[in-house]
Amino acid sequence: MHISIESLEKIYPNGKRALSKLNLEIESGMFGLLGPNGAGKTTLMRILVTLLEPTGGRVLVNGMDVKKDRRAIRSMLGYLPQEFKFFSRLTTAEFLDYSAVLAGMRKRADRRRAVEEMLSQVGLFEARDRMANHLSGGMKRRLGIAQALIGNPQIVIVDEPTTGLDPEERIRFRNLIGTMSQRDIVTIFSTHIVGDVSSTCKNVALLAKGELAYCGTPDELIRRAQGHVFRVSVGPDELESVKQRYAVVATIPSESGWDVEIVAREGEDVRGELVQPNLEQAYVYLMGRDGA
Amino acid sequence: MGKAEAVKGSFLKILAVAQYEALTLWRSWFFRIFGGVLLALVAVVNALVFGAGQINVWTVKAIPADIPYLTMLLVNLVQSVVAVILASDFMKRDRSLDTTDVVYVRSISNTAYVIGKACGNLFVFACLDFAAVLVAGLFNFFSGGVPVNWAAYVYYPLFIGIPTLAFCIGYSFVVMSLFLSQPLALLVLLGSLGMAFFFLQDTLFSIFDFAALRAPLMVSDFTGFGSLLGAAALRCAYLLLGVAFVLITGLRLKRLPQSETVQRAALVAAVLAIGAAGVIGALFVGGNLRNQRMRSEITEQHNRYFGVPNVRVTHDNLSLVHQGKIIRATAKLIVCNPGEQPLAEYVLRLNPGLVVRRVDGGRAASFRRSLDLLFVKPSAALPPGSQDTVRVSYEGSINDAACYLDIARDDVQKSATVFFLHRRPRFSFINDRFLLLTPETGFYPRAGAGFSPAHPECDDADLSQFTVSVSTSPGLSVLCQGASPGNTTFAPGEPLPGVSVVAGPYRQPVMRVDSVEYSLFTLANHDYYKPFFRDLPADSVASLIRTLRADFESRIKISYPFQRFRLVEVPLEFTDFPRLWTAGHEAIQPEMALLPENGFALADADFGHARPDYGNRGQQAQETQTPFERESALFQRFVASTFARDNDGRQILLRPQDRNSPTAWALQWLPPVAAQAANLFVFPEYVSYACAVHAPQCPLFGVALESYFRKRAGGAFGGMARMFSSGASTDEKVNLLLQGASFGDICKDEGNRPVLRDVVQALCDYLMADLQRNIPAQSFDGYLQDLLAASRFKTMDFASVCADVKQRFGFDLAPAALACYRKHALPGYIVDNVAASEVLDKSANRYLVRFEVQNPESAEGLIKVSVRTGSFGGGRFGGGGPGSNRGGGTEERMIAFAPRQSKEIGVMMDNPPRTLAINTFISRNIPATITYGFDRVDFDKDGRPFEGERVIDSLRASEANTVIVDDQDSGFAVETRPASRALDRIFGRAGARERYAGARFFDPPVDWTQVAGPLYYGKYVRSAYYVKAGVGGKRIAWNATLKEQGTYEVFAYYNSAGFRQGFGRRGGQDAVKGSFHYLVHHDDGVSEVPLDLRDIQNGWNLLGRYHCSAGTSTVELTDKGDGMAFVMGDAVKWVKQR
Repeated sequence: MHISIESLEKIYPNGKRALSKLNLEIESGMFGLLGPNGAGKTTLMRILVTLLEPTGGRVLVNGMDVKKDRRAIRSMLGYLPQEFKFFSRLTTAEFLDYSAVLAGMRKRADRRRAVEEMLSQVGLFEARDRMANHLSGGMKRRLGIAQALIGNPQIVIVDEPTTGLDPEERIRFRNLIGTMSQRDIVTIFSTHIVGDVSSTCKNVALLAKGELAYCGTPDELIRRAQGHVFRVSVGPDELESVKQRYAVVATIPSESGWDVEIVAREGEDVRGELVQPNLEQAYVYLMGRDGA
Repeated sequence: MGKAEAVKGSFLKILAVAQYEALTLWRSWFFRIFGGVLLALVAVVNALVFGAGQINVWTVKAIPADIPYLTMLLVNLVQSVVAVILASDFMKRDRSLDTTDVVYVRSISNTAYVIGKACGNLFVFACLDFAAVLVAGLFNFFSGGVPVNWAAYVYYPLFIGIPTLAFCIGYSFVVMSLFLSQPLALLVLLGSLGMAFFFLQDTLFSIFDFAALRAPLMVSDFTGFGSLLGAAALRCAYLLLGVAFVLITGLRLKRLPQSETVQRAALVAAVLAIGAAGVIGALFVGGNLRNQRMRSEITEQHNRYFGVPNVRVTHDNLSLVHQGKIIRATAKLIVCNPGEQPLAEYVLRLNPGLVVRRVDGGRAASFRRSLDLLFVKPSAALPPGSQDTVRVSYEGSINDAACYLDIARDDVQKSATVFFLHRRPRFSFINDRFLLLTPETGFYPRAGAGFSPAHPECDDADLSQFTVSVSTSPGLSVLCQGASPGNTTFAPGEPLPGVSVVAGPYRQPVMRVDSVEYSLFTLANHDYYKPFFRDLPADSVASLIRTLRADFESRIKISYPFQRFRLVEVPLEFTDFPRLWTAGHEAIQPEMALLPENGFALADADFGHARPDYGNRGQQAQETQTPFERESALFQRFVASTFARDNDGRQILLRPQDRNSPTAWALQWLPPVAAQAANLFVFPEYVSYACAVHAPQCPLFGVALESYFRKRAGGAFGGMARMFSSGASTDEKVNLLLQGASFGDICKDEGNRPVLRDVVQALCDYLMADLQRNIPAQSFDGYLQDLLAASRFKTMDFASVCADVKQRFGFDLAPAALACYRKHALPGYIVDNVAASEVLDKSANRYLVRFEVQNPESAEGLIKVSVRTGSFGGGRFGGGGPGSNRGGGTEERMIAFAPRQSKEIGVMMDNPPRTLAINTFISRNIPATITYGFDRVDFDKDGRPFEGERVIDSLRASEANTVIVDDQDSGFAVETRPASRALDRIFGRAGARERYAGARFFDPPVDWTQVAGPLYYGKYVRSAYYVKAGVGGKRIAWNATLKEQGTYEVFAYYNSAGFRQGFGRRGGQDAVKGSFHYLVHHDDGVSEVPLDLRDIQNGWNLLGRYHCSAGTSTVELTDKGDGMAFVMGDAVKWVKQR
């Protein structure tokens, strides 16, 4: 499975340019899409799921154009949108069954089996007869991913799925998604939470203001930030001036004041201890001080 | 994936969408509450229908299929609105909630998606429909007494509910797809549907009736729907439109660009569906318009051939073969030339649905057919007085549209309504299992062109000798005038105005009572009445019939002229109408009465809830009566009220048995709902079908004669009832009409058709009154009886009657009769100085009613004076009112007036007079009958008895120092609000308010409104003004021109009985509270004068004494009510003091 994005552009009717000549290649496996709010992640997601038409460029899914072959592409899709509200009058199992039919599962027995398996997999089997709107936030997200995965789609697109979840739910969700990466499907995971991507994605892309800032492996992204992350001890009165001068990614109180971790821009001189960067720091390094 | 697989896949997805949409809808609280309330409402309605003694709804229960029909109409109306709201929510929901994205991105076409949504909604509402009719079915089943038509519980939801739902859901979808905003779309949806419901129901033959409220869907056990195609056509069109709207919505939905194939297919399907609906609509409207055009062409042709010298048919030998949906017949006619000129062509009429194959026999050489006329050309002209034989062979079916040319389409439409239900009015039936043909259907040739709108006053019916042979399917009983059924050849012994043929799967009990054979023909399972007469043996029935007949014939003083009387049940669609020139109508045929199916339109056929007439014994006797006595009473009541009473115009109203019940409370909020009762008054058997009146110079004579005997037979109430009615009744409307035009002109104006019968009746009453005046009272009745007897089964010639009357009584009838047609001024009567007193007449105390009448007009006239006497108990005003006279009677006098003549009239009587009614017949008076009540009659020691009439110079002149301003005078002024005028203009009410309407005291108008009534003041027009009581902002004013300055007593006129009428049922002093507030303008300012209603007396009530200058003096009345419901003002009088 391969998705090829070529010079993709999207300009909304109000003149806002959401995507600007974006080029990207996505292979099977987990692919993370990082970027701040307004970077164009959701726009890209909606173009990929054929809900939006691009203004320019093209997207090919296994050679099929999203503009021309929507029906065929949709038959391969599983989608979990950012805002996921429920049909409040269906139970968990009913909603999943509905999704299964629409995904093309015809036989009732097969659907029943698939629904039960999926509910077990996402840990909602006990809640199968509960009304969907009576589930907790995390359970709803799990139901969301379940409906995206039922019917064995070849492309799964999840848009900011962990927003609002507590750490436990986020971990559970990441583990669930991680399991998916074992299969030969394209899973595009869009988020602005770096930690979600670091543990699951083979490749990541960074979007900023509609443009591609980085595309590659998380390790490569980290390597780029090497030599640019410092730990510095500052006195209590110096913290503010340090914050104004540098991109501070961590602030740890110490006996003499503060130990701060700084991501320095290229060419910036920082007197401090070099630190091995993590993905979040690498993200800040690449995106700049405000992540932009 | 192959195409088949793809289609199967799409179908499964549609089902899934439908299933889950249905589930979502079913689980919504709004729908559950709505469904619960609807089912509860259905249960309540059915409880009322089936509950013991709740409301009189035999008309609905008599036809078992009407139960689910009524239920579905109720459900359909309500669910249309709810379906629109919920369906519009679908589109809104799909736009605003992102949840839908997870469904939107699925591989399902827009069309399939929308179809699934629509089907889901439709399914849930359809289930609700079936649940509702099931509730009704359970009531029906457990009630007993009314059989259950289970098939109807299936096809009414399908016929009524499904098409409406499909249309409403589809329409909602497509409107929501056009508008961005749900509130705006809802406004458009509900607004357009509301417009269709409230304003367009009757437009273009009810084509906008999406909720089937006007669709003729009543089902007959004889004929089913009658015409399934006709019944289903528009329903099918709405279903197709719904489908088309759903497909269009799928095309407009932006979620997924559809493949070219799907796009094209959906578009083509939508266009085809709309096209098919359009074709159905066009055929429907076109068919109706074609019928209208045909009727118009037929009547134009009749106008052309009116009065053309023509043959008369003396003998008709008819041979008729009934084959499925057509008849084949040969009519052998013997015709004669009654005129003085040879006839080169015979004009016959035959229904245009019957195709003439051959005309031969006698002199007949050729023929041509034009619409409903058949022109037969003899080889040589038929000399005067000669006879000829014409044989006409024809076949086909009856075109009902060519029947009842004299009845307006609106009246035909009204006859279709039975409470809330609708049937298709039909006049003929030809199908495999049933045949019904009456003379109106024109199934055999008759002489002449028939009804001519340009000459509606002429309707000359022949009497012919008939012989009829009928061949039909085995198992059908054939009925016709003449021999008993079982035979197929019928030869009535007497010449008749027409024959009718009925063939059906009847059961028939027969009974002979004296010389007449009585039989009842009904369908096998239509003997619902049997359990109610179980204890009534046949000989008792015979005895009752004998008694009832004797009672009736003692009133009418004519004996039944035939040997048979058959009651024949006919389908519920069978409709007939009263005619202008005869009491005969299609439901009553010679020897036959056509009973409505299962008695549904008979006002007293609900034997389960009827209250027998206990007569003088009172209702307490019920507890001691045996079943035999009870059933005898029930039988008598039914027969008397159905056959011995004139039910023309009678309505069957939904009414509660118990007026204090919750049902009565609930019903008062509904608009009046009525069904037309069938009129099976047997009178035509005695007169209309037993002789024919040939009076081309005066067609009124025949109907006047009938009318006279009809009133005697039906016991019609007469003039005294007018006292307590108000407003322009038909009499007044007739007078208003005749003031402006001659009778001939009135007849020609089609807009006058609704009142033409009343005009004819008024003129007939006048004619008979004139005849009665000139023939000695003791001879009048006897003369007419003899005349009728001598004309039995013959044609009565008007010219001969005139000659006879002249010879016997010295009175020339012809000029009086003919004068009715000429334009003439109408007389007007001013009645004054009415007084009743007790006087000494020789040595006995007697009573005298004396009054003066002036006719200032240039036309002569006639009045009928009726004085009701006796002591009264009860009644609304301490006396008076129909039916409350005890120990008294009525004294009647007929008084003629020459132009510009005044008379003093006296009537002497032995008992105290209570009311005086002066029927002015045709005059300028509104109302036509003037009434006076006498609260007390004092002894006048100076009074002299006076019986009779004497001409006086004029009425005693009103005093020179008196000025009266009535609301009819130019000095009277009433303000109307600009807003009211604007509203009137917008809603087309300007000028449309009925002149001289009756007062509605329970719901008075918000603006001053004129009302007419016998108890108000006036010269010719007795009227007053009234208004809903308010705070004093609205006024009426009387402006008098006073010649001299001086002190005046000012009076206001009231008839105390007339206005106490408005104070609820009890009336009387106790109910009257409050004051009317007058403002009297005088030299010293303006005085507000409250006139306490408890003090109001009959006549002029003093407002006070004031100094007024010469010139205009004004008195105003405000709407200030002091707790009153209404305020009324009539006339004001100024009397100068010396």
